[in-house]
Amino acid sequence: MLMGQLIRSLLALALCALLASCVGLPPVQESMDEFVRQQKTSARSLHEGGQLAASRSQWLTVLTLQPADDEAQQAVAKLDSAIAKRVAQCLRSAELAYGRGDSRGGDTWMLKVLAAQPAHPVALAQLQRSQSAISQAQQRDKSVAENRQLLARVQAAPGGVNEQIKAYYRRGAYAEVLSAGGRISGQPGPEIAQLMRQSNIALADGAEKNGELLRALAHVQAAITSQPREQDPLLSRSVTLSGQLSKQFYQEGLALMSGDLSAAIVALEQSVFYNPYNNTAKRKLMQARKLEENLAKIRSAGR
Amino acid sequence: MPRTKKRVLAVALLLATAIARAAPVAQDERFVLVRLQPGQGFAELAQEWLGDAGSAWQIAELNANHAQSAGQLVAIPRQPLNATSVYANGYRVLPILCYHQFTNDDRASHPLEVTASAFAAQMDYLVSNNFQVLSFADLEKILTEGRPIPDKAVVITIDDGYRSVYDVAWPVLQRFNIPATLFIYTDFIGGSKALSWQQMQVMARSGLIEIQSHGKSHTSLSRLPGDKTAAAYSSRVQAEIDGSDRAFRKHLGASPQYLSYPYGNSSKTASELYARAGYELAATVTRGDNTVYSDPYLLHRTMIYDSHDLSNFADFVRGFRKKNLQ
Repeated sequence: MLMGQLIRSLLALALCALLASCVGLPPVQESMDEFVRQQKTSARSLHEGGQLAASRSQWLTVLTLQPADDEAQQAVAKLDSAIAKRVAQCLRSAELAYGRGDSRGGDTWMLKVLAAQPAHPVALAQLQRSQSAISQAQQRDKSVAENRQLLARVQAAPGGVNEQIKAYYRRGAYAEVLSAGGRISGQPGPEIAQLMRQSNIALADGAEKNGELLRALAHVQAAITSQPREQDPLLSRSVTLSGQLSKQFYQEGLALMSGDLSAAIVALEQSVFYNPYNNTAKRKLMQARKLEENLAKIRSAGR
Repeated sequence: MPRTKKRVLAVALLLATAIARAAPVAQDERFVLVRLQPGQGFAELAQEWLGDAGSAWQIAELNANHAQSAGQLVAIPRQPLNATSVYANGYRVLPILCYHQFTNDDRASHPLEVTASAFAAQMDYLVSNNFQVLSFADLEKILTEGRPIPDKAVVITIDDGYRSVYDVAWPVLQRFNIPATLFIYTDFIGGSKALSWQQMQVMARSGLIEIQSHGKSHTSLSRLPGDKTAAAYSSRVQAEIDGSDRAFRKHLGASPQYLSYPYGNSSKTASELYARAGYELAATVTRGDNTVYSDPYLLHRTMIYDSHDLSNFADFVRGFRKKNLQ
């Protein structure tokens, strides 16, 4: 009995609420017309403002309500084409930017891809890679700085530096060996000098393996000076590396001759610097300088 | 139950459902179009149709008419329209704030301590300006499930596990109903200035506080000069993971899923070891923008110091970076 009354009361309440909710609402057709008008106005304005993705979404809401709306269908088709074109352009520009080492520029182009087409998988994946690389580099820099501070504290303790250098060498941290060794006041003892020489050789090996000849030469020369020896075999390695560098700069100079004469001269000068006996480079350098002189004369005569 | 009663109940249920959720005027795979009922706004629609009142901004973004008047037709997106939160005029970022200690005194005794009044003013700023305060679990959904960063959103974290979290910050968070993630290092818990496991259980039960890992001993998780070999370093990090995990399981009944690196220091090795142990996110203390494409194991956080005033705070929680992306 009580249950029945309760249910009847609930039913009456629900009916009242339903009736109240319907009272005072504008007719459905009026609401639909108003919705379409406002969405279309806003979609046009967003399109004009370059907000292609947002404009497209608003046109699509019109199609949800009126699937046969010609204007909305055409607007969506037009936007799809504009977005596809924009995305292709931005991806090309991003590729060029990354290609010339401008990762920040490349990332901006990828953001532009996402602005035109949210959740574009290629752009999103590239930005994830870029962000990760930036954050990892920040962490590395932070760790290096903090370890340097730690090292400074160790150095402040008597006899601490030498032990630290030995520890670095034992775990193959050759750059840290040189960094710590550089802070020793005066000449290091023979044991530390030997560790610095060996660290320089290891770093030169790595650089040469990566094709970084300039860095390799710098480490070989540092190894020679850190512990000078008679008939040091590293001297011959230094000469070989200098010769390779001379050849590398000569090739670079040749390639630049037709496009950028000033840069070609700089490269040829480097070639001669690393091997003063490179007669081919010397001749080419003289030719380039003569050519530059002649061009200057032609230019001044033309004025 | 007699048949008539059953019928009456069924009719009542049907009516109640009709009132609670107005029938769509139109719908397709992308959108649902409904008429706003008296007393309804975008927040109620978002709760009904998207399961989260906090997603009202997504409805506002899609509809030209923001009046929210009864009878108005409203489009509701079935899926997020802009999951990457990048727009033609800029992109959304998610600030993660990092606190440490609190005090009821008028003045802080060191830079990492924030007074109760300053903390309350900061939380009041968030509530008054309609910020959504997200948990790390929400953040995980953004980074892994393709959910967009909400308009005006922020995450609050507290590191270490000082007792002042319970005595000072917790009442403020309760007053404003603001969630926060507490990162504790387990060796510290139970110490004279630290929280107890019981206090943490109380906070965790409220649903407002997530308790997560800040390591076991608060040692730096980047490779240190003392880590003689890569293997020794990995084993030091692994000991931190295992030790913290054991304490979490014993006292809180579950393994942590999120980490804040002690001193904010990490490395590729540390991130990989934590990922392998089942951690989903990890945060540093390097200031910077968190976007949907951020590295989930190197999230940026902004440290809040005693010296920061409310205007600094407002800058820290700004969630949109303007940039011409047309």
